[in-house]
Amino acid sequence: MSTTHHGEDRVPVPPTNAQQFTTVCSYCIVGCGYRVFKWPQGQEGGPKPHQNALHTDFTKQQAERSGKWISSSMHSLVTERDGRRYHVVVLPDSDCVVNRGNHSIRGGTHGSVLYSRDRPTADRLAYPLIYRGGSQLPTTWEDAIALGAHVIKASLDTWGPDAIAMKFFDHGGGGGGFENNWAVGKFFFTGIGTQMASIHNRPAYNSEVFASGDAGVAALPSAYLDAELADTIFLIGANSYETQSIYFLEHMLPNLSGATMAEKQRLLPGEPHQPGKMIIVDPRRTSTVAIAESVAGKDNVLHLQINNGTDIALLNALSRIVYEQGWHDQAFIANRTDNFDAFQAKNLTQDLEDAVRITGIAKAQLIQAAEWIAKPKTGTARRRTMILYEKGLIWGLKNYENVASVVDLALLTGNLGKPGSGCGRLGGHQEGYSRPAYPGKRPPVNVDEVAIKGGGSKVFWVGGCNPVGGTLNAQQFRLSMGRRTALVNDALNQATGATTQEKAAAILKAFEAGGLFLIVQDIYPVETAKYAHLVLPAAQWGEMNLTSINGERRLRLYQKFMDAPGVAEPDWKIMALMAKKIESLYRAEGKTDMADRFAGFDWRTDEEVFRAASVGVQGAQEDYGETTYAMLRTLGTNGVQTPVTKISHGLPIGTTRLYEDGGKFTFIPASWPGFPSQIQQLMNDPRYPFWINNGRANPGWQTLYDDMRKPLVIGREPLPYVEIHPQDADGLGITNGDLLELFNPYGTVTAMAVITDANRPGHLFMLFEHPRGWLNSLTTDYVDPATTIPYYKGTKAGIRKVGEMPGIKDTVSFVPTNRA
Amino acid sequence: MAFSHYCTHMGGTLTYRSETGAYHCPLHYAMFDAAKGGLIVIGQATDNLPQLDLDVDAHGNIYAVGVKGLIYGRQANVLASPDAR
Repeated sequence: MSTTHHGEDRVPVPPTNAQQFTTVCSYCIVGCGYRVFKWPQGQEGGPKPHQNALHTDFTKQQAERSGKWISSSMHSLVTERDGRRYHVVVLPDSDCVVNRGNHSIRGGTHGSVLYSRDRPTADRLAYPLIYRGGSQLPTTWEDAIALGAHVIKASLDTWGPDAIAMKFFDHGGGGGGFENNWAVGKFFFTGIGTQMASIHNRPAYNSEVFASGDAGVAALPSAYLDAELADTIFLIGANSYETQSIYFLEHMLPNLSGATMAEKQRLLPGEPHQPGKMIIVDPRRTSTVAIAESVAGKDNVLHLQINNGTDIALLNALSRIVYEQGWHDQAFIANRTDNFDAFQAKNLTQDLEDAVRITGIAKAQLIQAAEWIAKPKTGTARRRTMILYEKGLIWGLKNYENVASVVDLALLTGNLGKPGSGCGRLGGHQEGYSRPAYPGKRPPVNVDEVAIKGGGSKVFWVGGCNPVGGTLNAQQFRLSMGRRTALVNDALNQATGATTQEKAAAILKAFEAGGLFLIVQDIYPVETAKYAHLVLPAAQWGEMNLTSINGERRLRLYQKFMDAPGVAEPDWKIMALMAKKIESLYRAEGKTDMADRFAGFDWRTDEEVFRAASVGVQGAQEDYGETTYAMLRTLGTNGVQTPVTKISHGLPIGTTRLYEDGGKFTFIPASWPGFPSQIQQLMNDPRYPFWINNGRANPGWQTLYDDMRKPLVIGREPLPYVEIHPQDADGLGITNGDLLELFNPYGTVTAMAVITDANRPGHLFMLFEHPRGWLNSLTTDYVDPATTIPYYKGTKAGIRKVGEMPGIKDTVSFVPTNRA
Repeated sequence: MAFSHYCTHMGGTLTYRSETGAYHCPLHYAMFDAAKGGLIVIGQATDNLPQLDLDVDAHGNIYAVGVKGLIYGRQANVLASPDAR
């Protein structure tokens, strides 16, 4: 008897009069377009083409790739605030140039995460919760905001702006967007003025690509079209089949298979073309490697199975080979760059034999990779190489030099500003950043260490993230949060029946003893919310209008199509509620200057915030100028690629790729620094023999906040897993499905064993950010001192077998995922 | 044991490979574990592979008597009659 979950065996078809909306996926950077259909319960379209909104004949089996099939995961029955029930279908849009009707398992299951009272999403936060006597009880917005405002204001008055710390989303897509980001930034930077700000997945307020910015290269300079035109695609630190799935499937693979040859000849005449080649730098033989080989043939794919943390040595070795072979782009270097001498003195002195030893990559492979990146096709035709990186590099050993060395390679080979080239992030979340300037310095303060563990801040407001598992060295962070928030609990436990002011006074007293007041703003009761004194319910994607850009800067409107649960509100409105309350408290005291800092939150609509936020993106890759919601509604799921250069005939004119018309860049010198002391101590200790790499996997999204409610996904990943090589498993008597404890001095976590030869012996890969086992309990407290970005991707640990988990083991698959 | 042979991503025709014990889709590389009720191994499909409930009569004839999940390309597992109003 199989316990495998299956969805409903019948879905209703939208009737011809269904309401229709356009939107974009709430998840990854790729930003696939979707169409939403909504109609009242009790109605249904008929099976004939003229009887349904898809104009499709449902009396026949549809052909493959029909684009009209509604899986059960794309449908839900929702209840609006007025009690009316509606069917909602979220279907991939065949007219969107990003996905062409395709979808990932993440975006294709949006129906499963719409709020519904009789589905797993029923546990959405619908009302504010306030800590009372050992519980978190529902309360009114007025009560919750009043307590928060009194505590924040008193802390600000007593200890200054840095007494208030925050960790918030800064991204696009679900939960973010220009609208919410602007309001959050205005509250914390213009209003509070705190330096103790940090971004959802890291301990500080920083760019993840400071080095690229310093070099003059924006994070997303290319178009997805470039992946169709490139001679070589160079992926470093990315498993794109699983994490940028539709970019990989719709734009990269057709290049590798030769399906874009005609397009290459048409758009780039006068030079020889072949199907694209792909280089993949990853310590793991991923599904991406296997699929690329299957499509392009093994001769056209190069997997560089790099040792953890050694990217800079690899990239500099490639630069050195390119330069010594004379394959560099001398004209580009002379006309478009400066600081070459410093690059030459540092990067190009990387010894090749050392690089082979450090990276574990054979010299012949280094030479082959350098050829594919830069050896000119003819005397006059340079290779067009698209260099794409993501978290493996960004969260690698040393963020600043990691990113510098990859951008340097692009500058050396002239791969910016022309079709088929580029050097940028693949991306995790979508982007939608617009905020007043962060008031702190660079490198930014480590908020985890100073404000939370170090006791520097008194109030901590967490929005749209789950740092008790998502941040580095998470066990110590969690324990510190537990100790400090409990002091405030104790104070509140003794203040039964107290007024808001009396409670605030009691809390302030607890602060003097080291207490921490925690506000968590989210859509679900995430693990971090367990420690909270105030829990504020936010609206999600589809419950407000929002705007964001994808990995090729494609700006679109994500339309509201349903109500948020209970009294949940968009994040921008919650920030406005708090700002207005604090403003009124200051006005009542006659403190006009302080009141004015919290003024200007009187927006009435999502679009008013969007327009207000435009000032924050001026001159940036996101610059959307005078674009309005009406224009974006007209442009649907294809939108416009920012920066918007002008409005013509009522529509924005955008930019396909950056730097086609110029741009000057700077080489940033970088050399491999070796491992920091935290890692060296683990390397020298025989109790921790295994390297632990980690990352996302195909089905789930980030902290699995939605996926915990998707039966398909949580059925596939009921527990976090750790991949272990057969040799290591044999040595320790481990079989598939065994529960293992992984431990080091930083913490401990359990995960289920998956035996695979994807990693080298001695190297494990664990799923990151699973609420039933946080990998980050094992990561060290090391951050790159230049950027305050953690080395999330590398730590070491020991293993202890706990035992079997029969009820779970039998329901999951141990078939290797890297077999195409 | 019997499964739908259309991938629950975009309807590609699956092939079984004994070296993995999985059904593989040629369109976008989804895999489904034949030994685990059609559980998705990897891929962009939004449901596990529909499995047929089978019955055997006294003569050894095998009948499909039900389907778990929804077969790709259909609104219901039994197609509506073209004669439907």
